[in-house]
Amino acid sequence: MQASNWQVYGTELESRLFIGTALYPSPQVMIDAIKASQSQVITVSLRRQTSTDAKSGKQFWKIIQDLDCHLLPNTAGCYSAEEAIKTARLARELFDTDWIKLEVLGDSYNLQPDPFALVEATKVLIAEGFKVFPYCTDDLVLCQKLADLGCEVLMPWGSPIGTGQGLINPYALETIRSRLADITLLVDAGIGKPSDAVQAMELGYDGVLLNTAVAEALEPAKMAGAFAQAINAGRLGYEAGVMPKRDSAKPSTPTLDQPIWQQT
Amino acid sequence: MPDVITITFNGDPSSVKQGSSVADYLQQRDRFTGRFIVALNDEFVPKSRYDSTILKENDAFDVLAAISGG
Repeated sequence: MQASNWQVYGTELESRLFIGTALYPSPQVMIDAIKASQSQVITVSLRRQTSTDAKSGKQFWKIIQDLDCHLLPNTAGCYSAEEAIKTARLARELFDTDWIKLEVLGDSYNLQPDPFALVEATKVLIAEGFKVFPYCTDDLVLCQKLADLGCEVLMPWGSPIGTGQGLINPYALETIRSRLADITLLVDAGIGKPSDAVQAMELGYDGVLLNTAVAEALEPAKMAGAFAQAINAGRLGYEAGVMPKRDSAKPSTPTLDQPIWQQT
Repeated sequence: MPDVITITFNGDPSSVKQGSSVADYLQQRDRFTGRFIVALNDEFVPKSRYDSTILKENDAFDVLAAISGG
């Protein structure tokens, strides 16, 4: 059973998993994992290229073309709004897309977003016609500000990039979900295992973006398949409507007409 | 006017003949294959302007291509 389709910036998608292309032990492992994930959106980046790495660059380009996924370039490694804006403009030309995963980092240890620079860069890029996917913290006020600027998608972290800690502040994520009901939300960063993704989807998030959890698994393709199923299951569970929690027990087996010897 | 000017290529100093265009400089460098773009002083240079964009002293010339990312 497949969960419902969804849209990001007018593009309809079946899969609710966005997956990264980094950290895999080999190009073939990356290809196998992305196919197993059934993801339709992959994140990519851009860097300076010399002729010595031109061959691997050409190979990577061919691989991402053959995967036939929507490309979501990122501004990874940018520590200022100016750097991120310049990188986004160049990414648009290289990848021929207005989509940009906007990362503006504020700390080189925990790689958390700089919320102030993020807002500044978002403002400029939205005005230039970009479809911004901001990687942000789980701060409600920041998320509201980004939505007010015109972001239709927000991507708050579950925990710092690559830590596999899962959702360390589900209360904050739940708050963002309930207060920004009309915004498409993905949990991006910190996902470690499939149950983390299930948790995000059961909170009502529209999707999950991950990379390290698959790339650094012992068997990336198998893990990617697990995440595909987990995200679908989590979304189906959310759509099905979870039963209410109770403080006292309620028997599931009827008590009427119990045999005599069971009665007190 | 000097015959040679100094620019940076992908962050490293490089000498180029005075009056060279972006196209000239790309030919001077090793061959680039696959998809790439050129940025001059962090600004994208479209292919249509490779011949007409003349390099100046201290220009920052970057060739950028796709890489993996999370």
